Amino acid sequence: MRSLLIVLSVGILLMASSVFLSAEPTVSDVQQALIALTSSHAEEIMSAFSLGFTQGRLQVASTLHLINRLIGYEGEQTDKEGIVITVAHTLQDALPVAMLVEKAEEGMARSVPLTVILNGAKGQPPILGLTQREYLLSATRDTLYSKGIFRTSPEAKATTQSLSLVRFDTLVSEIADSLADYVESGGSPLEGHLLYQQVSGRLTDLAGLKVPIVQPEDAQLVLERVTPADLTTVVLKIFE
Amino acid sequence: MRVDSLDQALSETLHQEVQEEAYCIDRLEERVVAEIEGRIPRRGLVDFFRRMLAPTRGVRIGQLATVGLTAVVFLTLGVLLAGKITSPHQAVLTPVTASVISGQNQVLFVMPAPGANSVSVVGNFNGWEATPLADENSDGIWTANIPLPDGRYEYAFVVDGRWWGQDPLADGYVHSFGEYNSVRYVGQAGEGA
Repeated sequence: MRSLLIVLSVGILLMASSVFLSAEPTVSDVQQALIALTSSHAEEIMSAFSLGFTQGRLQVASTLHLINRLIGYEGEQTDKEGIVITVAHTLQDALPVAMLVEKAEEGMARSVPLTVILNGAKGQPPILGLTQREYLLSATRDTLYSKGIFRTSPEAKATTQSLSLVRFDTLVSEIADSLADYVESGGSPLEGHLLYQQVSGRLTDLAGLKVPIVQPEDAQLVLERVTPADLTTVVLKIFE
Repeated sequence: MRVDSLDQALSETLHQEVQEEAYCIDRLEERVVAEIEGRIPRRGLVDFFRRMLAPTRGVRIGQLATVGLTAVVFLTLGVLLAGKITSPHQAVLTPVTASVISGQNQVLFVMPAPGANSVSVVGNFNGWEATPLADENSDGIWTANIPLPDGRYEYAFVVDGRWWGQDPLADGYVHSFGEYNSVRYVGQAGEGA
């Protein structure tokens, strides 16, 4: 009986350790990886990332994946830090970051130099880096604000439309991404009606899915209030 | 009778008696063990473990095997259990994974690449990590079915290490880092699930 108990105890210990080893990555894992990537800025970046985890704007697993990929990627240390700092800064500015994380991952998968992933490249058509995309997100958010489209807040007035954080973030992210697609395809920012078509097509397609990514009423709201000239103003921000 | 001859006589007598009863000790241990085993009631798994763990004169291979088997069983249970455990935020934080589990849309990716050694698809649905396509009947048509939730996806094929971003089956194309990405909308109205 004693032998049996010993075997069972060892078994339970092994099972517990295997559960531990197989578990999902934690915030602590992200922190350790960040310290390995950048010991000097780790604390302030982690503070922003923690905010992102809490808000649901950032995922632990994808963040850890990004950092580990950056650690093993060839490039300047300042560019590696620049990428995570840009993500952190965007979070601190209360903006969605999924597009930035995805673009950084795609760039590394394509073996694009880190400096291009971060800062883009001039040319015709230009390549937009994370820095330009951050401008686009910010300018898009500000435009929606100026049109009375807000995130839910107690101060919202009757003339404004308040959306949940997820719905507002989705709008900002999809509009900014479709504008980036337009620019990277060589489109001129001065042709506002084409910019408008681009955004309209994206929002309408996403609203038309069986499980809509953008709510049809949100798409309609944006397309009613935002004008081609507004979109030109947004895009010109990245060329300033 | 002298003492010396007495000792010899005693020795011969004992030797003769031992020889006469020798059959009694022949394979005595084996017979005793067989007898005992026959009398011990079998108690399933507990009995199995007890017998395997009982010390024997030889190398304790039985014990080692049992411990090893137990470790494998418990480790497997642990891994399976870990797969069931998810944090409360996981469903929110990883919507793609959640939908994969519920298995909504089986999205078919097709890439004609005769003579290719490897074909994979990378996209924003797999973190731009390669998901391999297969050419099961060696006709040069590589395919993969990937479960995806409704949404808009950018992707490209990678054929023998070279990116190919213009899928004829795509809903559209965009430029990204100076190259093409294919775009597909999954879950469009009128589209089969």
